[in-house]
Amino acid sequence: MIPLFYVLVVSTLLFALGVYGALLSTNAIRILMSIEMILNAVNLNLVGFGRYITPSDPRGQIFAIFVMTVAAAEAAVGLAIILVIARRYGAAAIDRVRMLKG
Amino acid sequence: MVNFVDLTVFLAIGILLPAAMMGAGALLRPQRPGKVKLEPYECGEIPVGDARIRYHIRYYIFALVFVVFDVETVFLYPWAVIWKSLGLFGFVEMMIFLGILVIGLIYAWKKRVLEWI
Amino acid sequence: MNLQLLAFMILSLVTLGAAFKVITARFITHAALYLALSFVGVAGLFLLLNADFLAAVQLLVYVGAITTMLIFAVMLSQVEEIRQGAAEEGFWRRILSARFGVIPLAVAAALAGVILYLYRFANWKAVPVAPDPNTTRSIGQAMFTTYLIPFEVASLVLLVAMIGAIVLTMKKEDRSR
Repeated sequence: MIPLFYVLVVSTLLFALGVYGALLSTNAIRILMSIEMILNAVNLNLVGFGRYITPSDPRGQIFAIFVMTVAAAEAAVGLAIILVIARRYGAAAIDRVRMLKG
Repeated sequence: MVNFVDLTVFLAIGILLPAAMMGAGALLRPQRPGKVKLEPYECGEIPVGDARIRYHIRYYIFALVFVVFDVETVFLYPWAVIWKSLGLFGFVEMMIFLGILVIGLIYAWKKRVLEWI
Repeated sequence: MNLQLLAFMILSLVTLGAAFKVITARFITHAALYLALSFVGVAGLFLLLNADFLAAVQLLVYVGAITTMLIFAVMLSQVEEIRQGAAEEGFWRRILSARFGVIPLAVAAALAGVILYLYRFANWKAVPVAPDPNTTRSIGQAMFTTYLIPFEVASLVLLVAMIGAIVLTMKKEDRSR
């Protein structure tokens, strides 16, 4: 059996990579990808804890399924916003949009 | 526990088989590329224009509707495993879930998103 | 070294390496494909953690759906980048610059450091119970009784996301017609 700490280390590193990418990148789609990575790290944490602390109860996995649902919804709306901005101002302008109203 | 030996053997065969087939093909076939052969294949038609154009935003909506119903499948699957023990209650539950999502489908339909112009 | 630990190491290396390439890949399309590889790695880790249903869901939702949507969005919005073969402006210069490159690295490293440091003080007791082999059944059992309300709310979230995205993307369409 893999020690719980190893799982936590991997998930923490994935989380840190996601934070780094989200802060570093200027491309909105790449920022969205980094956020998906962060959510994946969270899921890994949930499943790891669920496996070791409450093995007879699937609540960690159920929570992870809800996180995935929300991630899919978030990606759908986020990409739609990015597409609208890219259509209106051009793809290069994604990080220069300051107005909320088009 | 998942049987890792089976999985590993399956993965190894799945990677090796296509690699071996494509590698053997690359070794055996004669290499004579020409202008006609390198053209992109468009169902036998003569290719028109560049492939890297800006696509219509309609494609995105199809991807979106696919994603929503893909996530729906995730909830349907465990329900299908235990629906007999849940009885009528579980059935009603799932029908409410599906009904809410069908509202979205009807909305997309009414907005003529699903039609191709 | 047992086999399980070896598989864990390989899968974590794939996951983290692909995640790193998502950040540093020159082309956004490549980044999307590396992201899919990273998701596959996480699915493998789920399998190792005895969450086989969740591994399948991960492949279905993340690799199948979200990556597809990301690549569609790249096709629809970043044509200039794909056509000219130009990456993000001065990407490597940005990574090495003092203000835009080092501060994110410091923030991410500090976060990871704090989290790992705090884990050392935690006192979790691993329960030595063998996990339920039939994960799909137990997930269903809990989902449709205890987690009934979140389950119904999830469908509302999906509905709102669908309508919102359609409204956002179709608005300009109607005007031009």
